[in-house]
Order: sequence, then structure tokens, then C-alpha cells
Amino acid sequence: MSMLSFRLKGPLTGRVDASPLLPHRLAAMDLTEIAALPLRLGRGRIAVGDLFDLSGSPGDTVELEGDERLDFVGAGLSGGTIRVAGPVGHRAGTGMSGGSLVVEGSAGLAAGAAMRGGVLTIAGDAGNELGGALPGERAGMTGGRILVRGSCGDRVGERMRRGLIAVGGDAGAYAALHMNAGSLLIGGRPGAATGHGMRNGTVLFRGEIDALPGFADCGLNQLPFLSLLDNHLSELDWVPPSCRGLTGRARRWLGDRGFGGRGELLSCL
Amino acid sequence: MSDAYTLLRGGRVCDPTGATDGGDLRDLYLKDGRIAATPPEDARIGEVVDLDGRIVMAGAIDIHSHIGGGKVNLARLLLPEEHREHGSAPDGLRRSGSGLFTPSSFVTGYRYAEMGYTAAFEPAMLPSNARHTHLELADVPIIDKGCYAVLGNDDFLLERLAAGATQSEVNDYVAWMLHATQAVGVKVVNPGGISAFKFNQRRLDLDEAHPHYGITPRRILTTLATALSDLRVPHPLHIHCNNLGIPGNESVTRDTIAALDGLPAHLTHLQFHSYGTEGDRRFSSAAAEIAESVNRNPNISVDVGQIIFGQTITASADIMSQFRNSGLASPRKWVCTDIECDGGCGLVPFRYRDKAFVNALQWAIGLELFLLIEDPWRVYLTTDHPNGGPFTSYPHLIRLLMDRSFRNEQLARINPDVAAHSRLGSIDREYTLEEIAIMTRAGPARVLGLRDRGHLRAGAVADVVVYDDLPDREAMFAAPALVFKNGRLVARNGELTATGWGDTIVVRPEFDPAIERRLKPWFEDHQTVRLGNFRIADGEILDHGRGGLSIVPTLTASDSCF
Repeated sequence: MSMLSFRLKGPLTGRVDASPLLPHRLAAMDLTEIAALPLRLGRGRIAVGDLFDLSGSPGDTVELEGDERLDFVGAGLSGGTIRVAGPVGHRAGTGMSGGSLVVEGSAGLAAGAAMRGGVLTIAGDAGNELGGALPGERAGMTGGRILVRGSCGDRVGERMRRGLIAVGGDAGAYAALHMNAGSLLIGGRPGAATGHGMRNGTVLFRGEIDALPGFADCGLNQLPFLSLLDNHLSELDWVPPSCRGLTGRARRWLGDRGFGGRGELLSCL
Repeated sequence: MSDAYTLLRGGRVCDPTGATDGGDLRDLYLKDGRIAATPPEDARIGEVVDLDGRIVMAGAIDIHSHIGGGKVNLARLLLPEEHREHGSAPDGLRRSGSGLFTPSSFVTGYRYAEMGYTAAFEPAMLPSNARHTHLELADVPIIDKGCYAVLGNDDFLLERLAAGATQSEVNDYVAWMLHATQAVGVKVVNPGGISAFKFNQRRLDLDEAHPHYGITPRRILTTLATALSDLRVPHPLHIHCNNLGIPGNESVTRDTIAALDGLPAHLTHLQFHSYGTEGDRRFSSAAAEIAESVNRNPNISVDVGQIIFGQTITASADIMSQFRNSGLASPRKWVCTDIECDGGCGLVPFRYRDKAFVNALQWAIGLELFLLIEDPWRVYLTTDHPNGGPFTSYPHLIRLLMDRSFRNEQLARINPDVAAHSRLGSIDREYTLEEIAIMTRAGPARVLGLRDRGHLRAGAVADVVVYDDLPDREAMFAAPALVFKNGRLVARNGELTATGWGDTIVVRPEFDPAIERRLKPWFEDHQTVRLGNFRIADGEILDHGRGGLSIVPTLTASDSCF
């Protein structure tokens, strides 16, 4: 397995669009061609070779040194692996349809937005709109998995249709906003207005919640599917431990009744 | 200002206003942003541009193009994917932007200028959206722009007409609105129909009474057309007829022409109003009948609203037709909304498909209208951007008109039933360069009352476009060799070289301000802003430092009101 490494030459002078650095795009090029590839830097452009020291050989894995100003890392990824040592900027893994993006630090806004497939793993925290929708779009995430060890910001899983998001820490306000389907696991505390506008889908969390008025309290339930879900999670890598250990017992709310009301909030015991 | 002249030497000047012939080579002098008369021998000549016999025309004028204001913005919001996929990055000259068929404001100005267009008119400015529209147009660089205020479905007018208002009261109201909204004309969209839609009417014919106000579209039309004629506003009533897009609507279109009874009027996007009900599919071309009616009535000018195959979005104040068509939305999302009880707004994304009989016939109907209406002074080139297709398809459309074999090639490619149902294949006419110059420059300028635009005589604004005389007219018109706006070179070979700001063109007819006594309480009782705040001051346009106001003079007795 061949690996190509990008090490930053120095601090970034502006935000960089790193979306061209996808393994399958680079696999067909040699190092000189890759070094000459233009990247957007602020309002201008810069060659890859002026920003990074390159080593290794192009193949199915790309290793990047991370930076908070490196945006669109792995956006549109369809196969192979990108591993980022450190944090990434905004929109990491936007619209990815396959492959694996591993961020060893934290991610900025809208990581995994409009994701269709593949696995996005974030070891640190994620910003707002994790696994959300692109601006103006009716559907957010439609497939794949997002696994976050730390916490996430507001509107995680907005307009989600399919797939799985597991957040080890706390979630911000408006989690699963206008969710259509799919599963969102919150290992820590859910934020305010969780599930607003939900039509369908499942949000799992621990502890108490002050559910929105659009949700009907269905009391304590024994739900066999939760054990099945737990078995499934045990087979996956990187699932935050706080999301595991589902016993099957959960308090259940159904809603949001202003929007069809077939979504569920499950407070798992 | 420099005292030196710019000399454009040896071009084949194509100016159909009679000043030149189009054949022999001629020199053109530009000074202080205007075309100058041939200067004296000792005059200082600054820059000299050798044109080597290239074709020279005035800057083109788009008489009907939805480029700004509430509904265009909603259209942009409705199709975020269009803007994601078609971004344009900033460079030393340009600001960034996005979009293809609803381009953002800056991109709109750049694209028009690169195509040799130096003025475009936003045809559907609802009075309550006027401020937004002007603010947005202040972000459209280079080109001159103007707006038509949409009247005819506003409750004030309908209520006053129902109460038996006199013509002079309507005249004052129309003039007040032109001033208050900084407009250059008045458009009526589906007269009475938008309002009737809100009373659950789904179709309204010319002599059908409005379900609430009891007045007919005929009355609204004739009253407004008379008002503009009485006020001596150069651009006559800009009419979007009733029953847009409905098979068989050609009768309402012809009745509208008849109802005007000699009053000057402009019928817009006529293609959408020229449908018959013949054939197995109950959908046929009535272009011949409509064209004949236009040919017989010299008081009527039209623009076509040609459709171009591909994805676009239809944006119209005609909520009645947009609601009817909402099921055809592609992609499947649409918006219909009321705006301040002033009018409506409907947005339906649409893909015109060349293999679909209806779309292909619409394409043929538009071309038939272009080719069967004999007087190029009265038919103007539009796609009703973005409704029929984006304005960037004009060069393609020009080629369809100028090149018969190209046209027939396209006809052979589309749904085969169309060739059988349309007379397009048998029409031999090919537009000449001079006729193109009329329908894209001199004609629109005349019908808008722009005395110093659309021609190249001394005194005209120095909006000059130089074309290479290529056999492929599409390539020729897509990328003019040189484009001058106000005497400054702004594009070369279809690439922007400089940017700047055009004027906002308005008209200011005289009226009796006593109308405000009636309007003030109306605003207080029914509108969200007071009358004093509603009116747009000149400073709101001028203070941006983005172009001036250009006031179109009203017609005088000596003007031939065509």
C-alpha cells in the first residue's frame, strides 16, 4: 500500500481549499505534477508544492498535516483513505460518497455535510452543522457514517435522510433539525430544541431532556431493536464508548407533531 | 475629461437608423463618452483603433430580462445547486459570483458586457419591491438598466376602477408610481388575473369579470394603455397577456391586440401566448395568426421570449400560470407567494427538452414569430431571461435567425412531430445583420424612448460594439472583438478588460400631486410602509456612486408615436 504525505512548509497565510487532494485524483499523477497543482488560498491561488513538502508515492492513502485553515479536506472523497494529523477547517468530507476520512484533531463547520457514503472519523470536536445539509438543500446526509469522539456544535444531522452519526460528547442546540430519517447517537448531553421539525428518524442520548412541546411522551419502553443496534455498533471501529452499552430500556418521545411526528427521541438507560 | 478624440478607424458601421449604409468603411470618433461628429482637421486625436473593416454596431439593448429584484433572488435561493456548480472566482478586475441562468448581480453585468450588451431592462418590478430591485441593480456593473413597474393587479387600482375612477385619476396614479419607484415604464402581468387567483379563480379571459372587483381585464388593459399614452411616456404599456401557456390562448392574445384599438402597446414574451388547440395533442402553433395580427397593427411591438433547450427556471409575477405549472417543476420544487397584495410571484424550475413535443413546438413557435413578423423594428430578441433560457443564449438564437441551414439542422434533431406540425421548415427568411442591429439595438431604443442609445449618430452615448465578420454568427456575437461602454473599452474578444457603472434609466411624466391625498390613507391602512418611505429618492440611487440617473424625455407632439 502506497502512501503520499503532505507536510506544511509553514503557517498558512489564509484559508486553503484542499478539496483537490483526493487519493483517487492524485493516484494517476507523479510528484512533480502534484506539486504544480493549484490550490485556492484566500482570494488567490498557490501551488501544492509551495504549501507542502511532499513525500511517499501516490496511491490509495493520503496523509495530511492538519491546520484549522485547511478547508474542504476530503470533500467529494469517493474511495481510499485520507488521514489528517491535526485539526481541519470547514466542510471536511462534504459530499463524500465513499472511502475513509480520519481527522486526528477537531473539525470546523459542516464536516460531513451532504455525505452520501464512506466513513468520517473525528477524534476531537466537531463544529456546527456536523453531517448537515448544504445551504438551501432539502436533504442533508443521505448515507455513510460519522463518528466523533468529542462534542459537536449546533444543528448536527440537519435534514438527515439516512446513515449514522455518533457523537461521543455533548451536542449543541437543534440536533436533528428537520430530520427525515437516519440515526443520531449522542453519548453526552443533548442541547436545546433537539429534534425540532423531525419528520422521521431516531435520536438516542442519555439522561434527561426537556422535550419540545411538539413531542409526545410515550413513557418507558423495552425496545429490542436497541440491543440489535448495540451489536451492530460493536462491529464498527471508532464508535465512541459513551454511545455503547444500550440495554434496550429507553424513555421515548414521538414527534415533532407539527411536521408529521414520526421521529423518535430515545433517552437510553 | 480628456479633450482628445478616440478614433475607431475603418469599420463597417451597421447603424439602421439611417445615418450609415453598413457597406462602406467609416471612421467613428468618440469623445467624453459620446459619439462625436467628425472633428476639425487640427483636433487632437488620442487613441486610434484600426478596425480593418470589422462590423460596428451600437451597444445591444435587452428590453426584457429578469435580472434583479424579489423573484430573481427567490429563484437563486430555490436552486442552490446551480450556484454551487457555477461559481466564478474573483480576479483583479471582477468580483466573485455564481449562477448560470440566475447569475448573481455582478456576474450579470460582466456577462452582458462581454456579449456586447450595454443596457438591460428588468421587466417585473413590483412597486413594493422597488427599493430592493434598485439596490440589487446598483450591484450590476457596466450596463445601463431600467425597470418597469408592475401595475394592474394592485388592490388600489382595482378598487378605484371598481369605484368608477376617472381616467385622469388613473393617469395621476400611474405617473406617481413611475416617479415613486424610479421606473421607465409600466408592465401589466395577466391583467386582473393575479388578483383573481387570490379569490380562487384559476383562469381569466379578457371579458371575464374579476370575482371580487367585478372589472374585466379588458378594462384594466385599456385604462393603463390610455394612461401611458396620455402621460406621453415613450414606452407603451408592456403587456404580459392573460392565460400564459394555455393551449388556445392565441385568441386572448388577438383579442388583446384588438381591444387596444390602435393604442400603442408592447406585447412581451409573445411565444408563450401563441398557442392553438389543433392536432391530436390539442396543442398547436398559432404563430402565423398572431404574426399576422402584429403585422396588421403598427401600434404593437413585441418581444418573443424564445425558449432554448436545457435547464432554466421560470420566474414570473403571474402566480396563476405558475401555480398551474408547478406540477411540471424540474427539479421538483417551486415557490408561489403573494407580495404585499401588490401582485404575486411564482418560481418553477424547468427543463426544456428537445425530444418533448410541447417544448420542441414552443421552440418552433418562437422562431416562427421571429420570422413571420415582417417589421424588425417591432419584434425584439429576448428569451424572457431566465424563463425561456438564459440571456447568454442570445448568440445561439441570432445564429438560428440568420442561418437557415443551421436552423433546419436543429429542427431535424428535435421531436420529429414538430416538423410536421410547424411551418418553420418552409420559411426561407434569414435575418440580415442590419435586421439584427434593428431588433437588438435601434428597435428597443426607439420603443423605450432612448434617444441617445441604440444608434451611432453624433451625440449618442458611445456604447459601441465591434464584431469580427465570422460566418458562424453564434461565435461572432458571443465574443465581440471590442466593446466600448461610454467610450471606454470594457471587453476584448469576449473577455472583460475594465469595469464601471451604467446609468439607471427612468421616466418622469407630469402629474397632479393631489393624488397623494387619496394614496396616503391607502398606504396607512393597507401597506407595510408609509407613503413617504415608499417613495425612492434620487439619492438612494445616486449616493452609491454607481452610475447616474438618465431621464427619458416624455414624447412631444412632434414625435411620431409609432
